[in-house]
Amino acid sequence: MSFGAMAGWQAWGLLALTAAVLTGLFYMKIRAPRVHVPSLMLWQQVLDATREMTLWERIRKTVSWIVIAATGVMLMLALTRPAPSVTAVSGGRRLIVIDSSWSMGARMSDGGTRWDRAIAHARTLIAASAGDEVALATTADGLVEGPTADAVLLEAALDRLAPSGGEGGDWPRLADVAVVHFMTDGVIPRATADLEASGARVSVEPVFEAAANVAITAFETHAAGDPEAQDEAYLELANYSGTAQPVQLVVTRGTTTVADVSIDLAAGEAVRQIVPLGRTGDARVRARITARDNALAIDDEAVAWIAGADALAVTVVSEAPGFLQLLFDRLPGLSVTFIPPAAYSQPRNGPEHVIVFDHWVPADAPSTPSLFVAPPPGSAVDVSSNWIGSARTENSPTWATSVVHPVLAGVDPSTVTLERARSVESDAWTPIARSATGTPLVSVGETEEFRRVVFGFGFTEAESNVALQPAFPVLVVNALEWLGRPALGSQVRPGVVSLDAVISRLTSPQGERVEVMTFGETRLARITSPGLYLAEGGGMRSALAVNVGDPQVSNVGRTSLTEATLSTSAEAQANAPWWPTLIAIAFVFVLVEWWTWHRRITV
Amino acid sequence: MSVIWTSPAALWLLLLVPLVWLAGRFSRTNFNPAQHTLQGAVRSVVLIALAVALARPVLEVGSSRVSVVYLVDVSYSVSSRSVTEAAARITEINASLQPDHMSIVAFGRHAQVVDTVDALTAIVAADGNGEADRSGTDLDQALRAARAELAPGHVPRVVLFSDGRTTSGDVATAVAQLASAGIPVHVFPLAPRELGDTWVQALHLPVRLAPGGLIAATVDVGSQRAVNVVVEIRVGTRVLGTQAAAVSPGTTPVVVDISVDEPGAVTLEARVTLAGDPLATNNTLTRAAWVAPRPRVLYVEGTPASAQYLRSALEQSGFDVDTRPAAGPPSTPEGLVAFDVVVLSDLARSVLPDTKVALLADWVERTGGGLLVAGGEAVFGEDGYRDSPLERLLPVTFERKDEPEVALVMVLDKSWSMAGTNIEMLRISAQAAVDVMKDEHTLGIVTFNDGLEWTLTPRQVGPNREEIRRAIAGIEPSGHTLIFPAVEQAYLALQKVKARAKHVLLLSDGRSYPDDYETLINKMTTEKMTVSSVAMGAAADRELLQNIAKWGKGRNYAADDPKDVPQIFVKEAKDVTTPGFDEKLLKPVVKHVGFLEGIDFSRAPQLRGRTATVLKETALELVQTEEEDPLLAYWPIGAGRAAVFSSDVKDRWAADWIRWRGYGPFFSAVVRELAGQRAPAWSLDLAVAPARGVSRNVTVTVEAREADGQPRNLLRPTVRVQAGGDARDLVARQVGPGRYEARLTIDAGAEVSAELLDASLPANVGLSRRFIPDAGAEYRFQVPDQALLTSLASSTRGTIAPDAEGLRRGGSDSRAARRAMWPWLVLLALFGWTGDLVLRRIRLFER
Repeated sequence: MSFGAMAGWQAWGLLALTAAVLTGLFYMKIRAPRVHVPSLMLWQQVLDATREMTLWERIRKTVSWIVIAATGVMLMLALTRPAPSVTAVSGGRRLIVIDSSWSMGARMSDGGTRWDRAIAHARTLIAASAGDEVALATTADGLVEGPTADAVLLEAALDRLAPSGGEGGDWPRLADVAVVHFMTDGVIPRATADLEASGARVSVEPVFEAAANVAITAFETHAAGDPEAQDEAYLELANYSGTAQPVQLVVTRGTTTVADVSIDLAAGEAVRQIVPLGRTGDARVRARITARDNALAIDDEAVAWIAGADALAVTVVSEAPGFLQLLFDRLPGLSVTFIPPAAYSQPRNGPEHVIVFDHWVPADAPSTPSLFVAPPPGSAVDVSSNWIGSARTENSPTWATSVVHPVLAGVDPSTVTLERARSVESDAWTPIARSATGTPLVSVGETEEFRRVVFGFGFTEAESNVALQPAFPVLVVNALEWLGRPALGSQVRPGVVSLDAVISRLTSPQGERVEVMTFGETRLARITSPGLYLAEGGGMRSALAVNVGDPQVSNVGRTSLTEATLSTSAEAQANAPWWPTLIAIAFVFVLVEWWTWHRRITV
Repeated sequence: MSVIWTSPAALWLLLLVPLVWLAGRFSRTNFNPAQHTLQGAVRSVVLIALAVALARPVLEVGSSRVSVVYLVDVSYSVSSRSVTEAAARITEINASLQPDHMSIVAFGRHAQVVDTVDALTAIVAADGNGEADRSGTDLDQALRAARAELAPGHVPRVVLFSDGRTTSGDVATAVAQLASAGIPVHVFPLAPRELGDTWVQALHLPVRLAPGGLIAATVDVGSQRAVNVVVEIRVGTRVLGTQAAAVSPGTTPVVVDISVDEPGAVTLEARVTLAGDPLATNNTLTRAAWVAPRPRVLYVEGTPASAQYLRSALEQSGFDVDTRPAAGPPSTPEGLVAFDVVVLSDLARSVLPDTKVALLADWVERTGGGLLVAGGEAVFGEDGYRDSPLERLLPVTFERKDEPEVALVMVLDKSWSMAGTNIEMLRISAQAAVDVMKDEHTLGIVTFNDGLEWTLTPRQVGPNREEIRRAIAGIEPSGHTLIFPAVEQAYLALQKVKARAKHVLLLSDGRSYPDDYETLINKMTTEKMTVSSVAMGAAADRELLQNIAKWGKGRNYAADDPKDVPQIFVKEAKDVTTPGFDEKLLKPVVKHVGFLEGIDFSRAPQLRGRTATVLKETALELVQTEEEDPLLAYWPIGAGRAAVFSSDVKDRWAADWIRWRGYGPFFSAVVRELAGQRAPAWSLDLAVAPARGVSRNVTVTVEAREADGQPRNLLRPTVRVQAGGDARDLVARQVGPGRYEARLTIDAGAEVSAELLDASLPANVGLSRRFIPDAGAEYRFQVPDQALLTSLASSTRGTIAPDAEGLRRGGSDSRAARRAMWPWLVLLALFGWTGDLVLRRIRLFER
């Protein structure tokens, strides 16, 4: 046994002292209460006190002494932080890096996980640090504590850690490190050459034990786009075990179960299949498996989000919607309401995602993502608080320049003929298409609160031929999508992820806020667990599907560690710290002894 | 101050504490109540302390002790003077701020802790001869090193001195970690090294590169002085383009026109050459590019002998052209799959059955094929493609928008040989032709035997129909046959008539004396007259009549049965009154530049004719005639696009165009625009992550689509990845509908290429992508990346160039120092336990 808080002799000395003090106190004569009694009774009391104790009284006293002394010794022992004997490692700064890959959550034969084993081994190393500075890091979080010689602090940090991915993370950096202890199962191969290049000795401490696992290794949906076709999901299941086993698969779309099947997977088999999801339904799709030999739980569920599944609520403010009405009547995935400008008021109520202002501009800036079609030259712009900017008109403009922007994706300017364009200009707008003379034809505005698009041209025959061109639905749908649905990548993995620049708020499946930070023109968020995250910003909301499943992660039965490395496996038994156990026993002793003392069972 | 509970479940043990007081009610001890209460209180404290200790509380208390880490960029691109100034600034800040802990980290390609500011200046003084590797900037690694150097439990401050021009590492991730840890990074931009140098900054290429076509490559030339340079772009040792330019301090974009002949992966090197350049390392920049496969064109030409012009022009512009005769359009869908564009030129409807047109329509509308139909006389009208399935696909209809001014002179044989049925049929035929003519048309009738007679001098049909009918009815046979004078008279008469179309219809059943017909007819054609001929009966001089029609650019008919003649006359009358084409000089006028930008129409020759067409309502007219008739019309249809060039593409109406320099660019622009719509069946993407230390991650993504754009699933595409000297074949695994991925880790400095190996790709081109790391990135002395540095500071709540006071205020002024509380609680319990024992041995209160 060794002691994490002090040298062995100091610990033993303190323990002995504690036992001695408590013994001394225990055997201290208790002074009888002062009472007035007849002398006969007094003499009888004296005789009783001097007679020899019975056997029962001797046992009772001895047990009482043992309990009291043991309780005190246990508390003192806890303070010395005892641990199984470890050999103090050579001096110098040490960095403990724990592989926080998801595979570290795989259960082992003893019921614990590889992560538990790594943590236990880290405790051992901290205990053996003998006053040297130690820093604690994971592959996902980088440096989490230290460098410090405060072992209690390091242990407290260990208590807070959990696997959170970080397969692609960089090695943590620490100057003047003598030894780097890397605790890994080797499922995700990582080259240590970079660490070694820093001059540190790298010690790979394996925590691998082969385990069988069943996983969802790929899951992604595809929106059909065609109202006649079905949405579909691609799913890959894999059985990383040495034996065949049945796997129960349940796929749900919202609250509707679209598949509930049992699949017999042979040893090592991966099954790929397309799951039809129906033509309409909830945007949330979830797949879950259950199986017998399944060491890793994190990859048993996968989620996906069908971006176009929820109808986009659009309000069109127009006196004469014309071609817009014709278009909206035919477009799938929209819920459109037409109102005249006179019926428009703010604030808006109800589930409205986008407002289209056709040839009309409200006096005050709308708070909902908005598309402005041909802002009028009349009073609305000029009389208002000028929030939309100054305006100018160009007759027969030629669509000359465009930048790459989602609103213009797939729009062929060469097919567009404009009779006149009226556009708005201010610092709030960024032109993405201009005429040959520089008039903005299409502009966008983007802040944390809103997104807006202006088409400087209208769709009537007197204004342009746009409504008769294939570019018409493409342009309008692009704008509505950009305004109403932020673009979120598919197949996001935990870690630092880039988000659409408009996303300002991210909420985890557990309802917790995830910090979103701005870096340049992108938004970054650190996602530490899988699930469906709610993404909001610019007046719109969507969901971000975060999954873990991957053959590299889920195949926990193999390791990249060499036989030689595995054979040097450290003494990484599950050596949780002893002090909590000692305190727990002491707690029981203190509580029970209180009762026995009151009842005069112990003294 | 706050408390973190590591094992909060242990706090449930507190529910047992009331048992202490419950036990007191059943006590058999003889202490007085006051001492009992005190004993119970102490025992409760012991139990509470132990229960709380088991919950493992960690106390976070605020600390105002400041730890500052100075992060100084000593990479090659930063000037020594800047580093010296940074060292002075560090000294100044330390003197003012007097932090409780301070560390200095110098970084280039790697980060290293230095003891003093003097060590910093020593690094730059060594100028590459020291231990520090200054050949790169890894800001990511530097920020991580800074984080590690901060003293735990101190208020953190990272002060970064850098130009922000990082060459490796993922700064965004490092910043995200710093921000979430609440560590502000304050930034001092450092000026770049001043050598008076000039370098290649960047090479920009269009998104889509086509072989053979002109590519406008933009080379950004960075310079620290005004200087004249020569910029060239080369592949290996072959120079693709050169451009001289005067560059000014800063970045000057220089456009170099280049052309790459072969499709596939290509490595382009941009090079700048100038006199007196102090550093050659940064004068080149290598970039990998992907040149799309040559668009494949199926060119079906109704006059195969004239196919060479368009074929040659397209091939020179980088298209693979498969030229076929009129019967060439494929009759199965598979036959069309290989092509991006189909060109149908002067193709009679009779050789293009509706089944083939239906295939074409499906290919255009569903799979995004491109169709170009070029004009010719065979494509017009009811016998052409009017109201046909092909016309539905096209942006024009094959009809006239106007009624042309037409003059027709019938030259009719009335020799004795015509007596009987023949002359009767001649009268009927002439009358039938008149009946289909419109009122505003002009008609003249010359009858001949061995003499000639103007049966009807040229006059307008409308007011003279009765007179014409009587004149035709009065034709009677007589004399021999002498053709030439009659034709000559017709020519002379037509010269005086004002009409856009002038036509002579000659009918004869006999033989005439030889004469110089060819000269006469040539004169007529020169003056835009056309001549058709009808040989009536076996005795007619068919050879002469054939030649007359050929020279006269008209049609020749042989009517063995006189009853066929009326039908022939009606057709001729219809054709001449509603001509399918205008053979006259046409000046092209650009109406909408669109994809024809860059083609100089000011020197475009005139075209000699066009098929009559009318623009459909929603189509786009790019080029028209001066009479505003469409020459080039275009529209998207379904997933594809279609265009009609209403003149021809060969040596008839475009005889002058084929010698024009713009001929090739014009048709290649049209065909390229038409070809651009087909979604590729396969796409390949190579995503190379920033280098991290000695390695970097690479993801190869393959997307497979059906012809209609739907994902192709359950494939096993193989990707050959070559990194450094190693090549290996990886089977990309499917990760989503139609999407496949292969991932690997390579050496940070290695070039990497990925090639899709698939049998369905054209044999001569594999789909591939390549990434070449920029070895000279550190030596391009750009001004500080203010955007990155500002963003870095603002993301972490730091500031730009703060003074000591700003540094003190910038960020939180207190830092949570964490302390595990359980040892103190156990110590409390131990004392409590001891005190508890004392309270049982000493009576503090008498009963």
